[in-house]
Amino acid sequence: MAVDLNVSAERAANRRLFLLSVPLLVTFAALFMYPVARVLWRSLGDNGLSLIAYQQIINTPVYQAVMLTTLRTAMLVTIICLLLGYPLAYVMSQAGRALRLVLLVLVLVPFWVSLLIRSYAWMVLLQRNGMINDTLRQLGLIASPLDMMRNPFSVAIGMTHALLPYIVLPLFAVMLGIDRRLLQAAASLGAGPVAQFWRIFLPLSLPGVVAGCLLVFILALGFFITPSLLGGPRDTMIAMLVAQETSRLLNWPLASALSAVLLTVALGLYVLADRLVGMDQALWGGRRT
Amino acid sequence: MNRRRFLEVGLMGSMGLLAATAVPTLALAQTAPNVGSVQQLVIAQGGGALGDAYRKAYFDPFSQLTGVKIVEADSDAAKLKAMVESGNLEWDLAQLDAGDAASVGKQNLLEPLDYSVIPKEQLITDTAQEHYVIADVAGLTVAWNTGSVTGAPPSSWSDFFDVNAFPGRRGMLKTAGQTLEVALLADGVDRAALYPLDVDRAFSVLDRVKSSAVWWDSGAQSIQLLLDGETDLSMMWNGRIQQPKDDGKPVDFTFNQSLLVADAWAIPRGVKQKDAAMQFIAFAMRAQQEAIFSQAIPYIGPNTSSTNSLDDTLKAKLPPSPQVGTTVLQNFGYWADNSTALTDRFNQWLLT
Repeated sequence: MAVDLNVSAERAANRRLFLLSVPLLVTFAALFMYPVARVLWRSLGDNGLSLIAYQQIINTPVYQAVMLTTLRTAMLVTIICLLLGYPLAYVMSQAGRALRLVLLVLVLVPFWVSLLIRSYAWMVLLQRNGMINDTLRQLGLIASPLDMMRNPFSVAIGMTHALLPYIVLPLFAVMLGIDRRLLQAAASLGAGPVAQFWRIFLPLSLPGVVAGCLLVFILALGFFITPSLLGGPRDTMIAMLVAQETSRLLNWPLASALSAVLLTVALGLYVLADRLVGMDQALWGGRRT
Repeated sequence: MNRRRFLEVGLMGSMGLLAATAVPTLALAQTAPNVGSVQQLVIAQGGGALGDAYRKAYFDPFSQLTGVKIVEADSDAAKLKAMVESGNLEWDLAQLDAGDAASVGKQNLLEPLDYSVIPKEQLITDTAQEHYVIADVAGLTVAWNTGSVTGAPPSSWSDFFDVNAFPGRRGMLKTAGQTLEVALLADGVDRAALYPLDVDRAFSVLDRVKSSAVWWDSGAQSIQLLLDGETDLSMMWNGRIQQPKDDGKPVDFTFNQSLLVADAWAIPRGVKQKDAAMQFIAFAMRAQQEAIFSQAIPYIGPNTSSTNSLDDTLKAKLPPSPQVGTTVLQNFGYWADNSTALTDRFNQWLLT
């Protein structure tokens, strides 16, 4: 008896929660799902239904090559962001209030500066007669300028700089929530600092890692300005081609088809990651009732 | 050309304005265009210094003569397509990149122009097309940094593509359009025989400079790269380099073999006030107005007599028409038909 009451009470609670989310769902459907559906519909041709755009994508090797470059770059940038962002978030979460505030400001202020301006700034730094080359030459460390622009190196730097806050902030939030006493408990059971980190802290921070990496990867897939300004012709990313088809060539079915392919790839990778890592479990941990 | 090209040329605009205010702009003995009962025209244009020049030479004088209020909007080919397809027309007239106008015209998104109103016979050959008419012409030129290119400067596209005579990095426009043409001109193709393009030949010429190419997308980028010494030579639109050259920066260029690119006036299909819009276009074709335009920005209008009243120092800064100089006008219709295939091939070539 008591069990039945609990179940129906739980169902009523769930229904109330669902009703609360209806405004959001309606907004989401109208302002996001509907336009995306329109774009996907457009990929089937300007008049009527045709698969010409998709055939063009399959038959032209350019699009596959660019898609691979995009995936490769996004993955590289995600890994670099994780390697740089995790220690930073760790320090921020362990630091005293003053240092934490300073670090937070250092992460957020570049975040608020326009991406276009930041990309131009990297050009000023990295180019042949740029600040870095000039300084190195004046210090006598190099004889002729280093080629740091218009290659995967410059693209990776620019994109990492832009995307770092997206991994630091979720990680920071998750790490703040990790109970310090668990580490003390581990210590009392004989775990050294390395074991404390490896066996307690790291697994508990995994939701932040997964959320941050997912965010960075998806954003990196769609990046356009930074590779356009900092990259060479071989660093072309798919969003640049979508922009070309939309604005200059006015081939909207093709642009829509490319977008559809990108969307499918991103969703496909999410599903794959879910199978491998168990996304639900990784993101929500043991907190889901 | 697109509006991004003009966003950084504010300095040039103000210099042009200074020069232009010295010339009287009285509308003496001008016949007022017949606009009927139209009160207001919405004209989309690319903004920046080009927009300022339009305003000075065309919009303001037109308003003065006819009493029609001209409201400006930001021009964009994709937006025009969206407007015409949805039936929600916000513009009466648009200035577009000529290549965009050709391709949009081919997609049946423009009104055919009325050449009984617009004086086609006064215009440079091929500037008056079925769905658009050229508004202004700029030149894609060979430019170089005088600091890095010591000795005899490049004087033609053949020099530009000669890596032995002119070693160094070359700034190149990252589109098939214009780049393929200059490659063919470099290989000795006669300007009368340029179109249809011998694409294979063009790509083999481009192969010569591939390793020394620095690719740029926008006019602002091209001049910045040249000024910074990131490029030693560059493809350059004359409007971008004139002001820095006048300011004494170490850059120079030549109009020899310059490829003429253009903006165009076009009327979106379904515009109700199209007769008044045609009258505006006809007004913009007047030699007197185009002379004012060329003083505000170093581009020429399509009227063959537009530069007659200008002094020689100013004329030297303007791209010569094909009749007068060694320049060649780009064939926008060709690109409307072929840009998709050639862009794919160009993108592929860039990747390998």
